Amino acid sequence: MSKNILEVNNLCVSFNTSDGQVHAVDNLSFNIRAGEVLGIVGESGSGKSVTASAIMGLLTSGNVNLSGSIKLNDFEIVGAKDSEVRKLRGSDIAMVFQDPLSSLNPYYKIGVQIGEAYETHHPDASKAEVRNKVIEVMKKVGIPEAETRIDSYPHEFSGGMRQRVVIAIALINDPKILIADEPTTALDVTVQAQILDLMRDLQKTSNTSIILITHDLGVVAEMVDRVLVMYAGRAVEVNDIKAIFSAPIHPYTRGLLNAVRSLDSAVREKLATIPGTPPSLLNIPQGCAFNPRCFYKQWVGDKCLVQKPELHEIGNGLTACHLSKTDIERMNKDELPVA
Amino acid sequence: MARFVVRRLAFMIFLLAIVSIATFLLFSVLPVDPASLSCGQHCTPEKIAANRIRLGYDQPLINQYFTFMKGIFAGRSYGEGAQAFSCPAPSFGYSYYRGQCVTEMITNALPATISLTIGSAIIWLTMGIGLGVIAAINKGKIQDRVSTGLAIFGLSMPTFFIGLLLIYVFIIWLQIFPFPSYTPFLDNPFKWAQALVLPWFTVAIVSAALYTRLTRDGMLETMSEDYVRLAIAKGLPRRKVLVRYVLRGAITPIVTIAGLDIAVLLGGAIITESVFGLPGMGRLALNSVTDSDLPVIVGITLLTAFFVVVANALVDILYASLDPRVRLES
Repeated sequence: MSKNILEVNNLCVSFNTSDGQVHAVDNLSFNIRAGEVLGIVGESGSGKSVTASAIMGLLTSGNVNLSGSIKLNDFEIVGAKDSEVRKLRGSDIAMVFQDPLSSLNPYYKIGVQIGEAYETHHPDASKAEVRNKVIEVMKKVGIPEAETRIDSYPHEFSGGMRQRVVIAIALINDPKILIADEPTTALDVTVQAQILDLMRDLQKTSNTSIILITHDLGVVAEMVDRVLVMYAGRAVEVNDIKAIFSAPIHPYTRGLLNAVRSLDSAVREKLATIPGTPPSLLNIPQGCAFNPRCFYKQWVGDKCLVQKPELHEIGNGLTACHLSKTDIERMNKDELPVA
Repeated sequence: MARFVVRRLAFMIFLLAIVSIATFLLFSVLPVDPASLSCGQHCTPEKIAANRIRLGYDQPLINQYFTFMKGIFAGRSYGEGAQAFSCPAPSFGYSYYRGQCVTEMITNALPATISLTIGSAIIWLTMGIGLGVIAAINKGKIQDRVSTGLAIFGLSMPTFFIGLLLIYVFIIWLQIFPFPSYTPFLDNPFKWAQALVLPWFTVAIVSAALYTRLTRDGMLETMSEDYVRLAIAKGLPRRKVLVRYVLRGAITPIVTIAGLDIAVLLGGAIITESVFGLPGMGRLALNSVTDSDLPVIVGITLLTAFFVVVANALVDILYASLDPRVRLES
């Protein structure tokens, strides 16, 4: 097994707002190995994107409280000077954002915008070198006629092509880690598949690690090795992809899976949902944050209401749930507590 | 791009024709009789009637309009025989009150106004945008409050008050400047600037506020754009992100307003010019209104409209080069 390229330990992020302190990420720990694809899954507001921003070193404004540790190849990002983190941004860690339509600056040619990422980290490169490099990476991400398209403006591209441009920006410096924050959410379904294929191919040829942030389990199933499930700022399950789909070890993961419609479900069958809504981060429930929405808390009892479950091993995975191993097996056999 | 420019210019000419008709009609219904005004002290009905014919006010309105328009392109002459005189093209008419061609009066007044406009525009754009940038990058901090506060202070001061204040402080109290007397730039650039510094700042202090606001709010809005986040994620240095991305994204509305402000100012800064005794368009307009010197007022109105329409067209064309998306939509 190759060594960890990124180690996140006890990461806590909170924001001071006029309504009080928002705990966006609470005591999060995970790691990622070279060449691995890690999926981070959760509903809106579960802390996925904040985690990504923290890794990029983008949480620098005055109202952010950041603690814990994020180590990239032994370089500590938390608390590092912005000028030092800046050297990593776009070179060692790159990011692809959700909406390719708004990720590109409408005023500059795409060649300039891709080239900028290279120039910043290779200040000695000549104009011709940069241009060649840009054309090379545009070809790599499958933009046809790169030699002429390099002088086009973003509005002259389709959404899918723009996302390829954004990926080209991310890949031009051969990053060690690529963070993709819902990279396909804003795209048509057919284009989604193309972009995912592209990312998977690039990952295989370059051995880049990818953190894929999504709420779409379909996307996860297609390309992820391991999944981190987040709920209300905490990791609730970490497991490899097969286990997530065959035998999840947290009721929340189980709920997410039930909400996925499969091809063999009956036409008139009602789509399963998780009752209730995610908690407000200003007011996270006592005990297990998921308890108000959990079917299985009766099997455990009051412990769910008072004690925060810590991550612990069950099988090959980690779960933050008070359910015993036997209870989890019952859950996966579709047994439900008597109401 | 060429087609866009041609179309925009054609529209501009159409607009100017409409403006000229409207102005002409507006002033023809005023209860002022130029013929009797230009008659002098010992006036008789016969003299008035003769004047009316000499100045062309006996003609139907439509003929008057076309004579006027023709004068702009071909020049115009008045009267006959020994009393005849002519105003060469472009002729905006003849001031019976001053006995001078309107065009000549305007050409005499324009240099002072142009000097005032260009100088103050440079100052207010630097000041306004500069304070706006400072406010935006220090949002919520003391620098932001001070910048915005200064801007609002400038905006809420009446022009004449700032003008008088500057005169009092710098001319009477500190005696840094002599009392301004306008000298053309070509005669003596130093004296030219010396006479204009205070008027420049008077106009600039009042105008800068809006630009501070526009820059600050535009930059703050752009800062939350995804493309700015991506620029930071690329590892670009902060200053580069601020200038190439944030300020660039906020500059378009500033260009629009600046174009119009400059155009309006070219039509004359009545208050500033009066306070500092600058012989510009504003003072000419003011005097003409007091004297009911109709042809001059019509001339200045048309010229100001011309400036605004041209500035508008220029701004539109500039837009197309500022924002690559505009070209397609045109």
